Amino acid sequence: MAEQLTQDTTPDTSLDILRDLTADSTVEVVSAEELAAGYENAGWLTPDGTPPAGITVPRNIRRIADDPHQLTTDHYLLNMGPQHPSTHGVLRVVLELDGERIMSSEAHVGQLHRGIEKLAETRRYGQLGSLFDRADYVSGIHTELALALATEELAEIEVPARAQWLRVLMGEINRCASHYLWMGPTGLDSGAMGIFLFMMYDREKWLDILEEVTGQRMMFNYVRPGGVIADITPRAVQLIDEYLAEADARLDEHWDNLYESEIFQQRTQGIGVVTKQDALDFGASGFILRASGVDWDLRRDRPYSAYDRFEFDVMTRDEGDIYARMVCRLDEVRQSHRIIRQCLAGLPEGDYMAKLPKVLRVPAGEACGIVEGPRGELAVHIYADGSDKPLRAHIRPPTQYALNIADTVLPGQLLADAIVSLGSFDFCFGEVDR
Amino acid sequence: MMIRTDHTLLQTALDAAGVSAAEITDHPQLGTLVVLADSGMTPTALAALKAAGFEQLIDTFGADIDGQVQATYRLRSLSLNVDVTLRTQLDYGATLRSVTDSYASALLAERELCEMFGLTLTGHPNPKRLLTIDGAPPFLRKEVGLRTKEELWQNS
Repeated sequence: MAEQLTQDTTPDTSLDILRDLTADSTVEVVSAEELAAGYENAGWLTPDGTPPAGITVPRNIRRIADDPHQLTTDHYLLNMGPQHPSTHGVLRVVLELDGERIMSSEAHVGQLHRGIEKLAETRRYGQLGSLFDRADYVSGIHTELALALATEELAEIEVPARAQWLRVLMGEINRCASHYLWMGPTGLDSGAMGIFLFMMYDREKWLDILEEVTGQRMMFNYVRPGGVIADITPRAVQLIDEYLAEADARLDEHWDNLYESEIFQQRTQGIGVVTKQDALDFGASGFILRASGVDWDLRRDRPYSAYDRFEFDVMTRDEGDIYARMVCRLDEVRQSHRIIRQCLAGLPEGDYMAKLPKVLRVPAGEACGIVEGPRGELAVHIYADGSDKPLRAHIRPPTQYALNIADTVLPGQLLADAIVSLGSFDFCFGEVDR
Repeated sequence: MMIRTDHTLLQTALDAAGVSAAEITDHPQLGTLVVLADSGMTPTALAALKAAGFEQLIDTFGADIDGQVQATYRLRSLSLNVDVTLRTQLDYGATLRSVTDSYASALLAERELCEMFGLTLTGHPNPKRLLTIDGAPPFLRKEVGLRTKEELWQNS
């Protein structure tokens, strides 16, 4: 008995238990120390698996030099995220700091990787929508729309006019809801608590309407190949009318509360500046491009759905700083209100879904559906092989390209500005990692 | 529907850069498509196209087609409002030459392409895995199957 007790009191470490459990499989269990020792050589995509010579930590292409006229300290690395609230998702940034000044930064992503593109190869075309909703979970309608456009182009499906208009209407409502979920928290990042709550009021109003029409508040699965899944209801029209009556006045109120605030202006003007050249080089799209002075909007320049029937302005700014991006988006919401009003006034009668077989078989070929999502250019590229499932489906995530820019904008800023700077690119890690 | 690009503009730019064996066609859905026979010429070809006025590299991705990795680059000229798609084929395990010297937008996308299709990457400032941990298989290859949780438990 005593012998047994002494045996029992020598505990196995959790590592030993794991090793016993996985003894028969090919899984190799390594300790944190072993992992750390091998980390510097881990995951390199070079031919010999070792890091290339002469690179620095963090490994980024933009790095600022020490200023000889300023007091400098020993540089140190700060790990920000992936649980940091201001990264708006699961972003991990490794910052190299000289005191409070950021010298270089490197973004690490992948914590939300679910293999959506791989899973898509095992789903039928009708099932893809609910999967792609999970990519950009804030603006599901736009990912669904890009997917539907690509599928319809390959399968040569004629979409009814009413469905085209409903896609525009729901897309714009989703755009407003998505913009509010960004503008409010950007205020929060820069120290304004109240505006977050005010803007959530507007977001809730739009979400109520989305819920009324699609049945969901976030993962809509509303736009399908061939049209949309549900018609707009009289109650939804009433809700839109009621909210639109106060919508523009509320935008003016937000302008007075946040944009006119001197504190907010000092936190955002001249900070996080993306130059026009950087925006083009790093593949920026959407509001980042427009806030940096590039007049480009896919809704106007490559009209899809029924966008060629609507009147709206493309809002641009030249400054490229956080404030410019904020103003750009507030103006976009105002334009969205215009489009929604035109939608309700001229919504054509008729079917909202084309006649399609239960199982859609798409002829072999390739097509790309491109839409202007709230975060920028959102594209879905489909390779079809003639069966009911795609051979490959690729989502072009706008914020993966915005992440490139964040790495080049942060160096030179103060640590306190990094939070609002990172927030100002509106990352959605569901779509970066997919 | 993609908007097509003037073929002579592309041909002149590619010829001047010494990119041979580039076939320019009009794809019914993708618009103008340039297929490069030699994947090693991709950085040269993209640099030539950038000089010809294509300011942005919009998208970089791969696909596993018939036992080969097909790398696709979608370029755009905002001033002309035209797109061009450049495509090249690589064998499994081949080396992809980075285009980040001409288009910095490929920084993250190329890393993802290489890890997802099991390619190696040269000429990139940070050629590291992007989404998965070391030892994960190249998920988007056709030979890597999907397993359910039950199958995983049965095997372990």
